[in-house]
Amino acid sequence: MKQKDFSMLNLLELLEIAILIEEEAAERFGVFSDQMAVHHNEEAARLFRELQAHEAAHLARLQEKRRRASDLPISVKALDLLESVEAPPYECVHYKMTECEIFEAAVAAEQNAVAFYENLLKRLKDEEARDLARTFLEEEKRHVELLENKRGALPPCAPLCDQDDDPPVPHA
Amino acid sequence: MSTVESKTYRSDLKPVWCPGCGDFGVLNALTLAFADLALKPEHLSVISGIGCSSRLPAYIRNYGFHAIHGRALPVAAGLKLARPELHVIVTMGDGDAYSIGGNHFLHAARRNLDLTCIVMDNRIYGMTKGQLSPTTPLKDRTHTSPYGSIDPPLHPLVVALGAGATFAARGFGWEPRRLAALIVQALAHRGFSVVDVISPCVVFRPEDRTAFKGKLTWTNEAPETEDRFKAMARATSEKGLSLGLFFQKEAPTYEDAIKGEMEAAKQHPAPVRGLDEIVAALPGRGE
Ligand SMILES: Cc1ncc(C[n+]2csc(CCOP(=O)(O)OP(=O)(O)O)c2C)c(N)n1
Repeated sequence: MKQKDFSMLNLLELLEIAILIEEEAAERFGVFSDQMAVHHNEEAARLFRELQAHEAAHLARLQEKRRRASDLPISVKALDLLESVEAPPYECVHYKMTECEIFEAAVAAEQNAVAFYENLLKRLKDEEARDLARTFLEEEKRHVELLENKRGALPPCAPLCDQDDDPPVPHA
Repeated sequence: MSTVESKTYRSDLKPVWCPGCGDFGVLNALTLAFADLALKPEHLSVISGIGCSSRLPAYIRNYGFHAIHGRALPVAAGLKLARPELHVIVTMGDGDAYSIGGNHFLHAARRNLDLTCIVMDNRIYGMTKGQLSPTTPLKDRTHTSPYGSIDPPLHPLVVALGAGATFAARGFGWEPRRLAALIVQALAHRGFSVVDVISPCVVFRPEDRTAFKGKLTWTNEAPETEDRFKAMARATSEKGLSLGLFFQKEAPTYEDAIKGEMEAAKQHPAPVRGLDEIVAALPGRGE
C-alpha cells in the first residue's frame, strides 16, 4: 500500500500516470452526473456530463500521445496512484447541487491537479519527464482559469440548507 | 490495469445511494481491486444482507446474492463451502454485520471461513432512516436516541480480532484508491478477512461530511505484528483514527477442516441405521 516513488518516473510512465488521472476525473464526473439524474436534478446532471466530456476529450488526447510515443505495453498499474488527483471528491456533492457549486467543485479539482504537478516538479529527476510535467502543469492552469471565468460569471452560491426543503439535521 | 478496465466489473444499474454517500467510493474501490488482481467475473460472488450498503451486489457484474438483513454471512459460508474456488465477498452495513448479524460475524471469524468481509460502517442505520447502530458514538442523537445514545459503541476490529479473524483492516470510503489497495490485500488473504470501511452517511449523520477531516492517518503497508492483542491496541489507541492493515496471520481455514472431516468420514463411516431399525426401536414397537 506504499505510494510509488514518482521522483523516478520516466516520460512514458508520467504519461501513463496522467492518463490514470484523467480517466478517474472523467469517470467521477460521469458518476456525479448519474447521481444527479437518479435524484431528478436534470440541470446538474447535464453540467456534470459536459464536464465528463471535457475530461474524456483530454484523456483521449493523452492516450493518442501515448500510442504515438511507444509500442511498449503500459507499465503503470492503476493502483500505482493511491491518491485521487483531478477527480472531485465524493463528499463534494449533494442532491440539490447548483451550477455554481458544480463549477466550484470543478475548479477545486483542477487546482488539485496543478498542485500535483507543481509538487512533482520539485522531485522529478528525468529531464524529458520534467518537460512533459511542465506542459501538463500549464494545461491544468489553463483549465483552472477557464473554469474560474465560468464560475465568476454566475451569482454566488447559496448555502446548502437554503436550497434544501428537508435539510439533514445534525445529531451530535 | 486502469480505471477503464475496472469499469468492466460494473453493471448497468445506476446506484440509488444519496449523492455524497461513502458507499460510492467502496464500489469504486472494489472494482479497482478486482481489476488489479485481474479476477474473472465468473469467479467472483458478492453477497449482502439488507441496507443501503447491501445494494452493492446489484451494481457489480458478477454473481451476487442480496440476502436478508443480518444473514449475509451464513449465505456466504454456504456458498464458499459448496464452491470453494469462488472468491466470496460479503458486503454489509454496520447494522447488518455487527447488530442483527453480530452472532454470525463472531462465528464466521472464529471458524476462519475464507471470506472477504467489507463492512460499510456509516455509524447509523441508513436505509431505515437514521436509527442508532452498534457503532454510533456515545451521546450522539439519532431518531432512536433523541437524548443522546447511552450505548457505548463497539469497536469492530477489536470484536473481529477477539473472535479470531485472521485479517483486520480499516479503510475510508472517500479514499477509494487506498481502500482498493487494502481490499487487494484482503482478497489475497486466505481466511476470514475484515475490512471495516468508514463510509459516511451525509444524510442521517450530516456532521460526518466534515467530521473526519484531518483525523484519519494511514498506517504502514503491512502489520508489524502477528500478535492480535497488540493489533487491537494499535487499532484503538493511536491519535485520531488510524487506517490500514492492523493484523494478518496465516491459519487453517474452515474449508480445510471440513475437507479433513470428510476424508475421515469416508474412512470410518458412522454406522447408519435403516428406517425399519429405527421404527422397530420406538417404544411400544418392539414388543
Ligand atoms: C429481519 C429484519 N429486521 C429489520 C429490518 C429493517 N432494516 C432494514 S435495513 C436495516 C438497517 C440498515 O442499517 P445498516 O445495516 O447499517 O446498513 P445501511 O443502510 O446503513 O447501509 C434495518 C433495521 C429488516 N429488513 N429485516
